[in-house]
Amino acid sequence: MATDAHPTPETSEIEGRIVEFLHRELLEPGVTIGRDADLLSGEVIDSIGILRLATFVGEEFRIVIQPADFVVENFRSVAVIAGYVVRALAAHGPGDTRP
Amino acid sequence: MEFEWTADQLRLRRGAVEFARARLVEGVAGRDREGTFSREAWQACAEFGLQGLLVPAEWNGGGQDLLSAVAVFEGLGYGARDNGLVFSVAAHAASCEGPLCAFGSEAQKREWLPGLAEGSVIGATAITEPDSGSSALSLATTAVPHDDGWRLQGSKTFVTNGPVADLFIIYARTGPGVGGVTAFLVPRHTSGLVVGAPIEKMGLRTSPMSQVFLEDCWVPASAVVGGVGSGALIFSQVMEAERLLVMAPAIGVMQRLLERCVAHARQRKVGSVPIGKHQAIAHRLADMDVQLEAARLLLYRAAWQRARHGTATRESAMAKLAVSEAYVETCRSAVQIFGTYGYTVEYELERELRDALAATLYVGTSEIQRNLIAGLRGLG
Repeated sequence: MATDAHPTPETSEIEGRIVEFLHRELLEPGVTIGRDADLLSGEVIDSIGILRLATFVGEEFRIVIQPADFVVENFRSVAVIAGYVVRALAAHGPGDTRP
Repeated sequence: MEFEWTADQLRLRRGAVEFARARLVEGVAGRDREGTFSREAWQACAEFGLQGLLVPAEWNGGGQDLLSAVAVFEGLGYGARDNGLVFSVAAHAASCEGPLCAFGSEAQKREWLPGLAEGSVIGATAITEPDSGSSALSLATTAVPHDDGWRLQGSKTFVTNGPVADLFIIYARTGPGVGGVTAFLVPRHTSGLVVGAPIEKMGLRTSPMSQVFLEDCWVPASAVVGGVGSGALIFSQVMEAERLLVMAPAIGVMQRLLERCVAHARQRKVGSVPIGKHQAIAHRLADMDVQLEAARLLLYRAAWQRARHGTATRESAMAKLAVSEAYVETCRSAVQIFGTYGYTVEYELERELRDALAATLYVGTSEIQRNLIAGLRGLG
């Protein structure tokens, strides 16, 4: 359950933060992506990029990404990732307290 | 922040040390010389519960988490002399059982996990290719849809446990990009899967290794692990756990060698003075001590994070890099401190050094770990 100190963000806000991270850290200048664009099937993100994206998602939304959750069904696109974050927060709330 | 093991973890570690001293010491020199894998020792490990340590209890495993497994494998390194066999068990657990436990279907778990946990089935993972190194995305091996299944074509190399494995997890390209790699579960006797001759190695000679060839190797759709296209993501998770599990014994070996070197430096005299009185020796031992503790803490921290917080990509890469390089340096120092005795087969330090040298190569070279650590900072 989310606490008042860390209110659960709206899906659109989650998507916005992910897109901002992608543009700032992973995408080539001038490249834009839609919320449903496939991040994994082309040249958009490389093998280290997907790890950076997963690390960002875990830290930014304070969720614990279990190894079994790290599959294409949860990381295929911005919209899919946001849906995964919403489900993780609903199930467990913010739980990442790593130093 | 706690820096203490639980009573259960300490009990597990002590048990592993006692088991390893009793069952994984005798005959190692001969097996190393001949390059033979001991099925008897493998089965003894299974009966002790090593192969099933990380497998859930419902599949006949021990149901331990990674941090507890690290404690056990550290104990093995401390007590055993057969570094190759311990490496084979760790690879089996991390790279074959690990993805099955996390990503396998219920049917796959039901069919394979009990045998893997009991040691009657030996597992292996085939990712590296002759021209690709360990990059999960540079695969030339392909899998194409065929007759309600997949047809695999290509070759793999440096497959730990390959010559004795009953079950392989094979990574193949099924499309472009990060989402174009898929993991397949392929039993040894599948038509089209050919295991090459054992590869002779410098160290870890009791852990067998081979090539694996896939020649129109058809597998059913049910052989896919974790969904089509999830192979690179699965592999990244496998590597995280494997980096930690295979390096845990190195901490135990370093501890054992440090204690042996300290005892030697206090007892061995040149003239009437113990060699440990000389700063050249004392400082080298101090450096070994510091390197061990630094490596140990990085390993524990990464395993703790993985057990508590799911993933530990950066931390596991840092731990793997630090432990492997400290391990090699410790073994080099041990040989040096023992002088020419350290170079003889009888003193068994040359074997420790040969075994250790592989640590900066397997499960991603030191260069790959640095690439990953830097890449996670947005560099390179």
